[in-house]
Amino acid sequence: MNRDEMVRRFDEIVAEMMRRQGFPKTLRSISRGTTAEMVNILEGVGEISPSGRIEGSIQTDKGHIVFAGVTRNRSDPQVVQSPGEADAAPGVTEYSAVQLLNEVAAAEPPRGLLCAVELTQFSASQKQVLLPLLWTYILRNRNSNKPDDLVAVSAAIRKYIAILPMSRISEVAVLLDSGNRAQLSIELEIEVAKMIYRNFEVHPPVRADQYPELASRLFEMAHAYTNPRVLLRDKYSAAASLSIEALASLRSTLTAQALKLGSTSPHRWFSELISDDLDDLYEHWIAKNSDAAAWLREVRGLDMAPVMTQ
Amino acid sequence: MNRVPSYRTTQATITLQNFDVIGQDSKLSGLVGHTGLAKSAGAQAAAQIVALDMSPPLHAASNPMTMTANVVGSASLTDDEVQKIRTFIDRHALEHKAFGELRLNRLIDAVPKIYCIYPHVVPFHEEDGRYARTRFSCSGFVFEAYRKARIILLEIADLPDAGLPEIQVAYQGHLALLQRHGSGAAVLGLDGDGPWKVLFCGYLFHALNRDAASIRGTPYTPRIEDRYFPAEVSPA
Repeated sequence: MNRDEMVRRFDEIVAEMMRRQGFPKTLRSISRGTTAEMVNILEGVGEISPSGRIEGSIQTDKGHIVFAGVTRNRSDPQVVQSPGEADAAPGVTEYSAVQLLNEVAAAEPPRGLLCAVELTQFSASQKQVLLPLLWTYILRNRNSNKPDDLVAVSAAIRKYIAILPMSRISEVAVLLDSGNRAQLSIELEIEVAKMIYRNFEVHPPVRADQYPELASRLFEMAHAYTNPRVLLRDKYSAAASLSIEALASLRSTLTAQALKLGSTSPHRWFSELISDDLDDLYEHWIAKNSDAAAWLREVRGLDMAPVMTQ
Repeated sequence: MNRVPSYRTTQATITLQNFDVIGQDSKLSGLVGHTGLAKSAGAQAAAQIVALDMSPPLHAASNPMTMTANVVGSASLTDDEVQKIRTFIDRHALEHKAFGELRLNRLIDAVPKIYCIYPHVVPFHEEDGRYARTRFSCSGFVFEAYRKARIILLEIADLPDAGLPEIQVAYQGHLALLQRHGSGAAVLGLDGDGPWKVLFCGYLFHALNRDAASIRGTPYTPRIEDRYFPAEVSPA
């Protein structure tokens, strides 16, 4: 290639890159002779922390990209990654949390990675990045027939629900939707119901019936799994009891009906199990929200008319 | 079925009931160092009992491990009690199975997040108090499983005080492993100077070494010597 051809070719490349990106880094990359692959940004979100560092997640035509702990170069709009400077949660090495986020953003993260994510505590801004990644992973893998995949999805579900803002908890009703073409496996339904219960055990609802859609899905679960014909099958009693207890934890008006399913079961041990767990829930709630605790007693029929004494 | 008191195994084959409590000796003779639940009933090789235990991680019904049964304790569980314990295990199974996916170096790092010595059970909390998993000690897992069946084997508030040297004898493997990786006993709940009311495995077998009515009616209050079974057995 002679010099004139080289200049013309260079101009064509620059024009194409400018058309696609309009981003000065492209010019610089080309002038340096790099051959980095370009990606088109489809959508994304970023957050600038008070320290000026940036975290974010973008969806591109080549898959997810996560950046965390990056700083803006004032003389150049490109950013330079500095993973060791992210605002990680206390007690967790900053790099490990950022590294995990980057690895989870890969198209097919290894299963063990999801389990490592479950064990890691993330900063508030990192959680905002992590949530959509976990959600994508859950939706992509929840119908897998491989038992090992379900283990990883279960870890993703637990972490997702444990860090999901309580104001968005209704969103997990989608996971229990029986209309899905491939219904969630009973093992994963157990994880969803368990995590709903645990969330509200810690943060009792301030009023009844705040989460009607979630309550409907849980009631469907309770109704299906308390059937005496199936209750003794593998894992059914866990799913049945957790769905009833999760309903109670929501302060749903469907709780009374669900409790009746338990109390009328021919298996007395089943109603005892639920009763004991709701005793534990009451103990947790009494210190946090007396209204919620009083509601729980009432819906269980434990509030007797006061005995009149002389 | 008549209830059998807790016993040390002397035969190669033993007969177990569902969720009987299995004790495996530590290297120090006589001290029960690990415990779990028998997965199934029937005659089994004492050296290879298929068990559900908090190793860590928890080995539940879908991924049981084998233990050597040096000591066996039985409450002769009713069918209803078995169902309650099975439900309890099913609730936690997948939660702990996930840790089997971790590579060994990550698993060691993860131990304090999935396992504890004191207290015997404690959630691993997110910053706002919510939690995705429950940590157990091996004896804590067995105790909580029976508690779900309304069998309170021990008076937890009245467990004997134990200092770090006594705890190290029982948990020498766990603590040495952590120490090699730069962690101390504090990550497993033993922070401060102690003493701590640790639920030692041996206590469970003394609790089960009573008549059926006492097992279900009165939690056992152990002595520190009950780390061994029988209690009079102690290292030279």
